[in-house]
Amino acid sequence: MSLPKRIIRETERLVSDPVPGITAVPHEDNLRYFNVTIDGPSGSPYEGGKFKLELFLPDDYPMLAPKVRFLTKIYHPNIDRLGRICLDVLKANWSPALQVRTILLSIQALLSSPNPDDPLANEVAEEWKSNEQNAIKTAREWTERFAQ
Amino acid sequence: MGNTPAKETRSPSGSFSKDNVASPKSLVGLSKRKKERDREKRRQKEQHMLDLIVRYQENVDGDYLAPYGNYKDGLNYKTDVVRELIIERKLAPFYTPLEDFDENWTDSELLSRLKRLKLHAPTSESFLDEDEDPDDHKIHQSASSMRRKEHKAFKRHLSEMSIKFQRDAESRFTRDKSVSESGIKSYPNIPSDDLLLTLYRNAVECPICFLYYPPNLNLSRCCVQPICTECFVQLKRLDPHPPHDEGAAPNTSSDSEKIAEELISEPVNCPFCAMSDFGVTYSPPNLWTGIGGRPPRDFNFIPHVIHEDPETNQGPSRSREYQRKASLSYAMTKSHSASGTPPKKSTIFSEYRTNQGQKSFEDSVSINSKNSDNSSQTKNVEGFDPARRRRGSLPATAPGVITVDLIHPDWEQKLLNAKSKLARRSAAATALHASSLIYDRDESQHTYTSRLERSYRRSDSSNGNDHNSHTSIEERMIEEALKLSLLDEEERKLKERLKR
Repeated sequence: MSLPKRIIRETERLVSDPVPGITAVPHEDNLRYFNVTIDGPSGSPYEGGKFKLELFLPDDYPMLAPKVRFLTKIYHPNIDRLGRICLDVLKANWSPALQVRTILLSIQALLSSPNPDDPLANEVAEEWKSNEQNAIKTAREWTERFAQ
Repeated sequence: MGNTPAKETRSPSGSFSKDNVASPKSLVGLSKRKKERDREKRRQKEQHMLDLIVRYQENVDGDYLAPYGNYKDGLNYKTDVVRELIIERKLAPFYTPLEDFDENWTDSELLSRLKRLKLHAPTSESFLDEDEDPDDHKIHQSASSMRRKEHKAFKRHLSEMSIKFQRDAESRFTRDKSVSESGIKSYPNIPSDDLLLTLYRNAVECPICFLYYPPNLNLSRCCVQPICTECFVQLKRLDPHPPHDEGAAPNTSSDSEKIAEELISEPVNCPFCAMSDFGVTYSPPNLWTGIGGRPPRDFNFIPHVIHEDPETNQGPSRSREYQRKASLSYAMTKSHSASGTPPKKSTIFSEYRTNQGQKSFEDSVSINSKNSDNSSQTKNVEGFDPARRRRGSLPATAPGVITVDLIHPDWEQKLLNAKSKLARRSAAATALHASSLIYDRDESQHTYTSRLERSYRRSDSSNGNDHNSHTSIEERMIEEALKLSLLDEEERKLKERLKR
């Protein structure tokens, strides 16, 4: 099955006009599957880390959201141990006018502003709420240990 | 007592033999009705498939009534509604997309690309899945597996037919096109070069599929963004789901019936500005070819208009190219407002005729405003950027707004089905729970009695206490049964309403 023009064009634009701090490279044998890296945003406990993710564009894309998952271990209240991400634009608030680029930017923004009130990793969220300084310290340690 | 737990009614050793005898009869009647319904469903599906074939003879303002095929799936919109809307020029036709577009292309470059366009994207037969049924290796196949197989065979048949029909339509188009190009014979439905150029000269990109279309795309009712019809028909409500708890305490499973009632199905949000209840408006270009207009073969530029056009300044030095561009812009101006009521055909044609004379640009615009019910929206017709002509948003109920729900009206039925399915499941779970209570009680008192004995004993139990708890359980079961039948009744009523 040939690749829809939209996916081809998005890939071209990601390569020709990359987002600072984000790379997305399609697999050679499956152009719907991307290897992604996101740099930890400065000012966040993830600063200095390079996080690997995988992104897959389902058959119904862009009517359905891309599937994205962290491959690098990360200490974050909205990202669980399997790397799954709790982010509204990946679920109910997905819109076909959004793109791979905008989704990756949203994920980068999620790293800057964790939301422990809508948690996916409950223990992390608890820690974040009860002892934020300690949580941020752990997040920084994890970044140094796993995201280099 | 007939509707006690499903498990017991089904067990042949149960004490409800009366019901068991009665049920096959009612099943026969049901299956007959069901067969008829199945036949009707198949007929509808066949019609749906036929409606999705792009035929070049069926065209409105230069394009077609069926999608090009950018999306392989999700074509379950109401084809009859959409065809009607396109013919009435309330929704943009399914334009054939250009993969690339460069405004610096010369006319002949653009034209050669346009002439190579096919009616439909190439179809591959590989998507017919050949999954084998899990029951294939069983000696005795269950009725449901037979039905599944039948259904699958029908589906395969449909998609094979659709590929064949599309191929036929395609080859007919190619043949007629080449015949009329060679000048042997002309076909009224093969578009003229002028029409093709007029449509695609200022092609715009649909922000969702990234393909290029003539500039008169549908516009979102809320934020006036363009969207092609093919992407628009893809949008539909999500499957019914429980409401996302906005910070509220998560519902525990204790009240599963409530959850069934709470299932929601929300209207689609605008993909661009997230406004609820997405809808589009469409203002047709001033072309009027195809269905409800003149043959697309006969479309040509209207050079006379240009000479009278005050904006062109009438200098003899004006090149033909300039004239053509101006007339093209004229043709692509919207013929009427977004209110969706097309002006009467006769006026359109008289307008064309008067344009051959001395009608100036302003005059034809004022004619347009007179034609439309909603002249406030025609005011800025002279803006040549048709995609931005309407300013401000329209409510979903405004005349001329085509909402997602209008072409996917089945959401109500889907929601009801999901609700009753969930309610039934929870009722069955409650019943199961209740019967296991009996089981536990009895088990503790008479460990070695069989279920059969138990059920006899239950009916003439002398133990008052035991009896009481049984009656209360029975009451609950009857309650559940009543609830179920009420649900069924509701569903039936809705179905009837939908039919009408």
